[in-house]
Amino acid sequence: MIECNHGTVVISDESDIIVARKTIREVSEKLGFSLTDVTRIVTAASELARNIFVYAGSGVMSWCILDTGNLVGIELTFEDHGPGIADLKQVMQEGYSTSKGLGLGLPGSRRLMDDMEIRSRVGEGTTVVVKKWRRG
Amino acid sequence: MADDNISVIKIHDVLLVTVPPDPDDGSVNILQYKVLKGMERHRVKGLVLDISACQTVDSFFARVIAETAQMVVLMGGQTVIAGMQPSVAITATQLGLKIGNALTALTVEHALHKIGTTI
Amino acid sequence: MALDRQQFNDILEQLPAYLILLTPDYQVPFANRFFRERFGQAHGRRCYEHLFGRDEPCDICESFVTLETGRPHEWQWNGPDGRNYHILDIPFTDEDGSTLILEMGIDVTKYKQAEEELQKAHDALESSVAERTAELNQELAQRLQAEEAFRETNAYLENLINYANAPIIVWDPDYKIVRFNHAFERLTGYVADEVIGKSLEILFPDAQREESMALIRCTAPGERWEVVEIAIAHVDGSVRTVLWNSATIFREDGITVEATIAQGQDITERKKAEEELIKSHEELELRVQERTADLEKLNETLRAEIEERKRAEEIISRQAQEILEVSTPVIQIWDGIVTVPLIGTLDSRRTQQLMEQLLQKIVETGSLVALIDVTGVPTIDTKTAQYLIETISAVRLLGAEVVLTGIRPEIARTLVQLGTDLSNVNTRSSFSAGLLFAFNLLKLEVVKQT
Repeated sequence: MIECNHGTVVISDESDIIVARKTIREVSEKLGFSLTDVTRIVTAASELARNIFVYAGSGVMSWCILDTGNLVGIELTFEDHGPGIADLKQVMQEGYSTSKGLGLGLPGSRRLMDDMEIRSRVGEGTTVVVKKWRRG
Repeated sequence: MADDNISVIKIHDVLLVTVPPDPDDGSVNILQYKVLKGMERHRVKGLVLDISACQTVDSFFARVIAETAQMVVLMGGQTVIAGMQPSVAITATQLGLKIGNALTALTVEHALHKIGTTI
Repeated sequence: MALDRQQFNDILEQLPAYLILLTPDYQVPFANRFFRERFGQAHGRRCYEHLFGRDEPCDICESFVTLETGRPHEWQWNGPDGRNYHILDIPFTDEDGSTLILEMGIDVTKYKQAEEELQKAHDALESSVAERTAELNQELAQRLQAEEAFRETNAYLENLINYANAPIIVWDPDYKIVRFNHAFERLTGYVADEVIGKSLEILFPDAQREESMALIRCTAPGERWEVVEIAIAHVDGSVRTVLWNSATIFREDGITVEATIAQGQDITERKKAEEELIKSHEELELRVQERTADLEKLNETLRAEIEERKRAEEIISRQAQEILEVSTPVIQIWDGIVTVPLIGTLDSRRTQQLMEQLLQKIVETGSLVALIDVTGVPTIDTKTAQYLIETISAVRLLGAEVVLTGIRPEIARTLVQLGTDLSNVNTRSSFSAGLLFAFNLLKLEVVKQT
């Protein structure tokens, strides 16, 4: 039984990254995450939203509250119809970047979150799903 | 709007920049531009970036800071990042952010001390 | 009475057959009128020259055989006139003592033809008789075959009916039983001989007799039963439930009913099984209901237990949190110096907690040095080592320094094997050495009072 309160933020402009950050900060603070975890989640959201803007031009971030009865968490989905990723393994390597970022986006975000799933097809787009569970 | 968010002030022989809580990319770029202008205009020993209000530091922000610090060094100065929040420090560490050759300080006061300035 | 030569000659001349004299060298010195009229005068020519225009005697000529044997010789000859002659040759000695042959030829063409025709007719008759005989034989064989087949088919049908597993019965328009197979015998306990010729009525249980007979009468006008359930009584008094279907056999006129045949299917066992199945199903449902009730009760108990356990877990979790906070006490030991003495095995959760508390404390107290003492830590795993390194990096981002003290050999080994780069980390063997280092960083001096 997973309850799912959710929402979406369209990412099509640089300023939407800030909107995404603010939205996720509010949601995760409301969920009772510690300040450090809130910072982790917001930073990961910022990284992944920026990936959409930089690599695909536009896309959608959607968030969803997870509640299994024992655990409360947040799930963020970043979906774009951009060029897609040809080699996921390579992208997940430290320091890999095809654009002006530092190449920390995907592997860094994975370290900040508890779980990360990537689905991508060249020419069709990329979907990244991350989860973070509340501790204590 | 972004313009008003960032103010670069000269205190004695140091440039002091206070970074807003949630800076957007535009603001960060303007910050770099203003810092370099300030460095050119004034004879200063270095730059203090007060990020104590800053709640989020992502890779883009960190990259601009690291670049700026590098540029300041090339222009004969020092950059000190002051007042990083513990949560930001932890997140930045886990994300793997590097701040180049910028120094860090607990507070602006400590930062000024590190640059070797006394007000 | 003696005849004179003239008289004899006249007789020869009147003969309705030819008469000639032949010399051994094929001359014909005498020929009667019959011969002359048919073949003409020989005029001194040899017989084969005169009759056939040949240069030598004929191959088929048997006239001279009589000279060789000295006895009369009879044979047949086809003359140049195309007619057939029966010939008699007799050796004859002339008055002068020379040898001659007296040959008499009777025209037997007609006889011959008649004979041939007779033969032909006879042959034709013979062959037609043979043909007819063959035909008759074939017909006979076919009939025999048909009869055999018919006999076989009959036997087959008879067997089919008699040994069929299904009870089969045939009755006439008066409802008298005319056929009763083995399966029917088993069904009723009757022997076929007992019931054949009797009314169908004897087969039914008393209570249903009228009803059953009414159903059977429906078949009289040729109606068929698709599936009709009719009970059959066994001689032992038991009643079998049987499903029936029937067919009417008509006379050649297609109207008059000759007989009715019915085939049954004993469904007594099936019906019993069905009833038992329904009963056992009902029992099962009852049992399921009971079991469900039991389970619900058990579930209720379990739910209560789970609730209680959950509450207990919450309390434990809260206590664990408290203990955790107590177990990683971050203490300010000097103005500008905080310390974390780590004791016991470090797990990643505890290390993360420590990291956050330490950083918080550094900022709160404005400490420039953090002393992390790991003397009390026996072992360290990869993840914890990673957190430790991250803690050191994070502390540095704040603008403070870390001094790591009391690293035991095991931990040193682990850190090196993990490839942890500690070159930029201040390490000291003991806590006191670390404290001294911290004082140095803060430009403090410990001086003995004088």
